[in-house]
Amino acid sequence: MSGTVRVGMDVAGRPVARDIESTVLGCSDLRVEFGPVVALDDVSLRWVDRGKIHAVVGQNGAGKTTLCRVIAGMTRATQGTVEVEGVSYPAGDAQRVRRAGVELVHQTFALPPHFTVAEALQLFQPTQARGGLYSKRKIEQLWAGRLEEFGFHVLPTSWVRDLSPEQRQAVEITRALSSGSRIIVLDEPTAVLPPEAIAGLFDRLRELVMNGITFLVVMHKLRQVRAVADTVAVLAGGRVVLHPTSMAAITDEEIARLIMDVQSSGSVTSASAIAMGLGAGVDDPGQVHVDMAGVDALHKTEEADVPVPLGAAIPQASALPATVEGLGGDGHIDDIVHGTTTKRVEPSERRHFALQVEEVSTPSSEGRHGLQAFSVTVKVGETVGIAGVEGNGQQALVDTVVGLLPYRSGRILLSEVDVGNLRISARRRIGLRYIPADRQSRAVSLSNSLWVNAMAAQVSSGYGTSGAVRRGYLSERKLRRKGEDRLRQWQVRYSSRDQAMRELSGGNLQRVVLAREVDDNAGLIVAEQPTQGLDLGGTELVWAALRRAASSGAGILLVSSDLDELFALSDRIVVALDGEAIEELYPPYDREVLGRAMVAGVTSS
Amino acid sequence: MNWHHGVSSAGRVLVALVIALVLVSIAFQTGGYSATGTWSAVLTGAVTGPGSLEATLRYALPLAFIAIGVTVSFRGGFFNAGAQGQFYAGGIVSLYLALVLPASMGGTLVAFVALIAGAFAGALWSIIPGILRIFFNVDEVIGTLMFSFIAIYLVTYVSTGPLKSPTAGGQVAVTRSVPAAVRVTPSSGLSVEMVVAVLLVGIVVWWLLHRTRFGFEIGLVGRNPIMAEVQGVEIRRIGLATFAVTGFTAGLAGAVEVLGPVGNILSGYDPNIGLTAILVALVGVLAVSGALVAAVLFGGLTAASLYLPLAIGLPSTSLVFMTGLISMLVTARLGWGKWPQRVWHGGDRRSKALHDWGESKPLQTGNAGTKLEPITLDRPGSVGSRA
Repeated sequence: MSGTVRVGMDVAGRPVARDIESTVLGCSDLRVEFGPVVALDDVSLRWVDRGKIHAVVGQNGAGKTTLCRVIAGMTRATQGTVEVEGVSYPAGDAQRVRRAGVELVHQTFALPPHFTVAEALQLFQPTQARGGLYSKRKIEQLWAGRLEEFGFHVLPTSWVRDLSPEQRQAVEITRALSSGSRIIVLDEPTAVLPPEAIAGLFDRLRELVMNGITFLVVMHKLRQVRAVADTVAVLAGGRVVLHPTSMAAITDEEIARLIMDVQSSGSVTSASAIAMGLGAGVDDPGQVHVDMAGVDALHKTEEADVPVPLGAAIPQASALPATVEGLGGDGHIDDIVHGTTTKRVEPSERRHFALQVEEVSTPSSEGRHGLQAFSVTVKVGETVGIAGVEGNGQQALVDTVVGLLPYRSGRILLSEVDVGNLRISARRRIGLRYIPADRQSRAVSLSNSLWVNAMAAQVSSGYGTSGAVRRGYLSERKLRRKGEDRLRQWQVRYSSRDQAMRELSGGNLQRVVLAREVDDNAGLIVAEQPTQGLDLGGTELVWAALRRAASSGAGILLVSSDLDELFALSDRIVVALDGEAIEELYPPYDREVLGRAMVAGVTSS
Repeated sequence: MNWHHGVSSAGRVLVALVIALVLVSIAFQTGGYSATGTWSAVLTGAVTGPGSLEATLRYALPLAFIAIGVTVSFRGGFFNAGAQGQFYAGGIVSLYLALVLPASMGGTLVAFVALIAGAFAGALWSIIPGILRIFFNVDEVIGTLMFSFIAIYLVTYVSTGPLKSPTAGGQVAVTRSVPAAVRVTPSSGLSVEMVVAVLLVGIVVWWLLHRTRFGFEIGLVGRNPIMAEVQGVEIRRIGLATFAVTGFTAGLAGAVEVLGPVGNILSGYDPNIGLTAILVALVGVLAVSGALVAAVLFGGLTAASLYLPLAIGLPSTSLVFMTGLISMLVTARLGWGKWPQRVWHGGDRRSKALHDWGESKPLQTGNAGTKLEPITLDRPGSVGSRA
């Protein structure tokens, strides 16, 4: 397909052959508006090299996903054109762009879960069998071959719903490639993957690049960009701030500065660097230990003086619990990151344990491990990280602690109260808070208003609504005001408290979740992938919030697949494998030791 | 919600009404009837004619009762489609009590007891499929509809069996009639007490929805049951309660009809109120006030449809067409999605009352969904364009 020469058409539908033969992919003067929001503004980009990996980076809300969707024709642009192989198309014509050989692999997967892999792949084929009749065996053979050819190890007979994230992604990429496309747009391919699968993805991409496939990849983490990309372009606020530039010609520090692209005071320290995957070390031995092995090349960024929108990221002093001192709204970010100015609550003043999970077992379900006599404790003021390859019991752990999943044997205590199979509302009243990984379905209600989202747990479980809810009767007016107070405290950017949740961007949405889940009475905060998909500012905010919560007396159970995050926040790391807690690691952490424990259950000791 | 949402959804309903009006006019005109003549006849039949307004309100009454209850269920994401059966259950039980309770109790007290018992009978009739839905995952649309069929046969049973009127002719099976002292309305079907009752039910339900934790939780469950559960909502309890409320108002409607204008139960009695009331709730954009207004509108159309054959020889079914069209247009999206800003604000606008009420949530992780499957409608990709 790709070998044939195509005649494109311009906006008016006339054939056109512009003098941009060397452009493999590009766009001109793109403008995309969603109501009052301008997602892309006068974006012109041009990638010239075939068989390369081109990265696009930027903060949440910078317009990266919109750019991908416009290029692939999934979103209509207000104005502008898309160029493929030197031919320009009106932006928003998915069919023609697709025929020109561009395929988009979505951020969230779009495969039908009740299909087998072979069926799902066949479904998306542009040419279908005559009469629409298929032989199950034939398509399974066909797709087994294709998957093999592209280097993916997925059985064509397995159900899509049973696949791991990386397998789903492999199928998505296979689908994109098998239509003969030579240009693949990947929207945040690493965001959905467990960390140990990312290297595998990059290997596949490199192999495919050898075969002349061109990739346009949206990414968040500079380390990953550095690892795989040939060129990088930066978007900020819907505009291009860096045109595609060879990775050899730019430092991470420069890229980071461009990403932030904000006129503000304050300075980024190692915390930001970690958030961006630069892996710099931190001095305070009690708080953060990052092993420097493998990231030495990036040492120079340690002292990078990158501006960060500090005021926008951290709630004001008035929002801070009383036990925290010296964290003014314009405090230096070091203070928050290192916790040097915070004062821990004396253990004698409170209970000793925030969470005790004692030999809890749950049944396994659909390729996910249940817990096998899993034990873990979180002390008051302590942050315990749970590391592990996805599907090794983390979900079951979170669900049993939260109360979504009953357990067969063992005991769970929250703030030293045996929760038995207590309802979620009762657990929340004891002090349970939950920041779910699956934000759109578990954390927020997209069609509900902001204030409802900010107050949902308090009203439903019956805590922290003093005056607004009395014995089941509520004052909507007071509740709205309380909700708005919380939104303000967490500096959610919104136009109206009655605005629907779905209008908020990722980082802003997580602020609403924090506004609901982080409060003075939190006993245990279960934070599940709390910064996944967030940009630097969002990551900073979440980390600062969790640190502050811990220092004011909450225990944090941090389940994360981001090792940098685990290292930065955890006082201890418990490694989950096959539903068992097989290992407990203490700082200073060693990336390799943890990695080995995660995959094999053996440490070097 | 707050006022501008209310205005925008009311505006959309009005647009739908105008479109329906135009389309029906065209149909009348092409069918050989003068559109203006027909509409003036509709107006006479529903509003201006002698006794027309009373007729409109009389037909609006049961619709309003049921639609208010249906609103509760639908807001909670439970598609209770069995109001017809619950209506029958309420009618049968209240008739039974009206016949067996001693007259010495006094007509008013008997009527009161019968009305309340009818309402509870409706609630029971609704809770059974509710339990099947919530504990055994039996689809509630099928469950409630099947229970309506059972109720229809119960109607035939009581009218031919235990409550059969000994004086009725051989052709028609009908129950004994409600004693005059127990009747809650004159034969016109309208009484101050019943109008007050429907307003009272409306106020109570509005208060439940907007001023109690229960109502708040209904709103959470209906829009995203998984999120609601994570916040600590007892979804099962909320679900059962919404089934009960819907059944209660539908049963009350049945009791009012039987103790009011109808006065007995005829075998094959089928006023077709239950399904129409679902349309009323949807046209009322799942708001209590909307349900009341829409009930009057549909009551007016019913009153007019009875007048049209007399006035201009148009069959009464001609307005069924109008009813259907209004319902379709109000619940359809009417192409609002064309403009980007509409897409962006999609979640806020309740043109398609049901769909906007729910939201899409692909459940990828884990076990939260295994307790109770999400029941809201899937609404893919209305925004999706955030970077």
